[in-house]
Amino acid sequence: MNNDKEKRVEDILNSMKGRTEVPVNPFLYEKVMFRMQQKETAGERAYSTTIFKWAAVLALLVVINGITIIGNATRQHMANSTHQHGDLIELESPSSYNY
Amino acid sequence: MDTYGQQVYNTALSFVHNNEAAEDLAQDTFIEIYQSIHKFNERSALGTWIYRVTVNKCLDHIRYCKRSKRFAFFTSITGNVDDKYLYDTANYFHPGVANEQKENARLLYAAIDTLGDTQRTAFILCFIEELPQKEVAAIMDLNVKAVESLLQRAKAHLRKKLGNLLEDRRK
Repeated sequence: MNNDKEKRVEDILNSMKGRTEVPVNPFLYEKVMFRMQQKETAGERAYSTTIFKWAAVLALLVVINGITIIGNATRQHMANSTHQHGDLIELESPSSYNY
Repeated sequence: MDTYGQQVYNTALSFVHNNEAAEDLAQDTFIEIYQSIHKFNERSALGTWIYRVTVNKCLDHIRYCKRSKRFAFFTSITGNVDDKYLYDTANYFHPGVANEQKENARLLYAAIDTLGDTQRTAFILCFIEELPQKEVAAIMDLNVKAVESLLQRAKAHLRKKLGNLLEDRRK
């Protein structure tokens, strides 16, 4: 029984020996060329979309940076004004120290 | 493509046992060759390099199919199903095999599907493509002894697997 099984297993292992080659699609070349052309077109479209996206990101960064700079400048100006106003008030009011 | 088209297609067929997938893989292989020809450094023969690209494409495809099957439940819920390659390899009949050997070849393919990538590659290239071991070693970037070792382990695994398959059928 075991011999039969082993023989059967060996037959199965050798079943692909001497197989004939399957002919390939005769239009393989045309199909490959078509796919490569499609890929090139898709690549160009993807390239322009990528550039647009990066430009949008850059513009956003510039805008955010601009707002931050303006905000800082405004705060600085307000701080300077308050400081000057505070100096003026100090000068006008009598000193609280009794010399 | 005239010289290597048949070779590439038949190798792909040996790996994926599906005519449609093998044709797609043959196209993918030649596209890859056109795009990567500048990387071919002539350390090996052109035919060896083409075999290597073919084998890598086939193995990538097999891994993709296994991943798709694993996540088929989840993708079926989301409706994002790409079932183009979820085919049944266990019931494939190779068109180049003689009629009396078709059933045996079908069982052999079912057993080959259980091999790891390197053993599968070594077995298919040596036993099905009938390439010399030296060429298989060049394709797999191994030495001849390593290929012999892979073949021995592959055959041992296949014998065990086929023995089990035959036992199950007898029951």
